[in-house]
Amino acid sequence: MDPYGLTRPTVDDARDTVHRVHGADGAQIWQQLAKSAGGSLDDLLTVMEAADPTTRLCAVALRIRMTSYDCLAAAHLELRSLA
Amino acid sequence: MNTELFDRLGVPERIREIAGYDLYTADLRTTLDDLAERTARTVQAPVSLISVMLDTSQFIIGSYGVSGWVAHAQGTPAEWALCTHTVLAGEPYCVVDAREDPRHAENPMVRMTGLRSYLGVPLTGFGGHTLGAHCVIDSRPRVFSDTDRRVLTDAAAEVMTLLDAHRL
Repeated sequence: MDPYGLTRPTVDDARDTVHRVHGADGAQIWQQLAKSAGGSLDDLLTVMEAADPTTRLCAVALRIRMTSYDCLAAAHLELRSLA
Repeated sequence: MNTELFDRLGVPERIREIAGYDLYTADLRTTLDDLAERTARTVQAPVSLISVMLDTSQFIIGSYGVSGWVAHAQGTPAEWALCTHTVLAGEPYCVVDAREDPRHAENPMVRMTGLRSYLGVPLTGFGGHTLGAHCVIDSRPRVFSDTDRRVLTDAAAEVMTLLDAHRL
């Protein structure tokens, strides 16, 4: 389900945002983050939140999208169950 | 995801400038909430936001009148935020009636919420980048006045003074 076209962020989205905002250093920073975290997005976000301030902002942005998606998807499900 | 928009917002120098502020302290957030409330009351609008625009999301750091999932998420996806237009333009941005405006009528924020009109002004950081926006949102179509714009512009200057005291 993609409420209003919104999709839940993935590990690939996290990689893209780290590459985007870190520019030339993105690949190296991503490698370190991926090594420190497990395979899940939740673990990755926890590691990103404890990293440098720029990487922390990446995590903030992804959490906002994740929470938005979860809230809206839940509301859609509720509406469907009432229909 | 909207890669082109995210690339425009995610310019490394701009994001690094936002990262140069400690945006997470409770006292700063409380002060920004108070400032947003003052703006809302002065302009007589039900909602006011102070936010920074990250690459994929609007991060609300001060607010008045926000509820529901936006309050819970402390932000919105960047492609839905009207403040994205203010930040990319680097100048005040106004929407008189979003439902009748072809640029915004299909925006999920307009379809989902009572958002009808918007006035936002940029927040400019020490390095000259537009970091975010201070805005008011109304639930009725509205032509904002020069006085409204001046209230927001003056408040935005106060926001930046507050943020400058929280530079890392």
